Amino acid sequence: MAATAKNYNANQIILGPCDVWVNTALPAASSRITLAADGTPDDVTNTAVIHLGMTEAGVTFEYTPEVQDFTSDELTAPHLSRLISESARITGNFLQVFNWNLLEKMTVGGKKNVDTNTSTGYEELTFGGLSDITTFPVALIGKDISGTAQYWVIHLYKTYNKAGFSFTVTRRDQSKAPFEFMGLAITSRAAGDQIGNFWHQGAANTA
Amino acid sequence: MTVYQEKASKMALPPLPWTHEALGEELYCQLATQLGYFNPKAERKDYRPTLDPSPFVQFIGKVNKPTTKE
Repeated sequence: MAATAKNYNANQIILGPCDVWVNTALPAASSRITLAADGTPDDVTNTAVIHLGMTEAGVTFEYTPEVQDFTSDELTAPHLSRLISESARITGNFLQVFNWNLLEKMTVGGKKNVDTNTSTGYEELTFGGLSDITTFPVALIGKDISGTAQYWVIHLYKTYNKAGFSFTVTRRDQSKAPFEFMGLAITSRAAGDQIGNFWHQGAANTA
Repeated sequence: MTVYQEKASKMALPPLPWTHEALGEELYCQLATQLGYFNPKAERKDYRPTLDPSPFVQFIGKVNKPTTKE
């Protein structure tokens, strides 16, 4: 009998920073978002994408399954488990609260108005009275630690910002607002690929 | 070649970008459904993300038309 190799692989670590892209294109089944050589979404296929800009302390991705364990009177441990629900979200605090394209997405029920007149123009966000939730894809993209020009992507196909929009204005600190992009299921996609994907460019980096 | 690529090779694919604005509702729904993105009819009308065409770019403008006799 031989020993089993241990898996100490520095290329399987993620080190930031990363970027959040709002309103990306939607990949087809068994496909992935098209990236430019620098790891940003391809501008031909992502014409309406918005870069979230700076965050206070990075971004958190969270996938949480809710599992129901079934027990019996005869056994001390569960004998069956089933996935009841699952949630995927991308959260953090963004700093560029003075971006109206972003605010329109962040407020869920907000509407951006623009007057481009050079002397009397303005940018405005109005809100209140809408009950519809606007949804859009969101991608989190970071560089592979291997040193190659390759990137990893966490892509949620259909989200809304559950955190709404709130920020504090103070002399002592820069304003920041929390975001929580909640992944929703696209029911017409194949089971197993309804909420999003997490992938990286290049060959498998498993040992 | 995937099932969807095979289907795309026989379709007259529109030029990029594949945004809802550029395609219009009818063509958008046709592409989204037939090429495996999602079924827009099963979603609210304000969810119409741009379709990433990368698996099908090679077929744009290269439809396999039946040969005609002169």
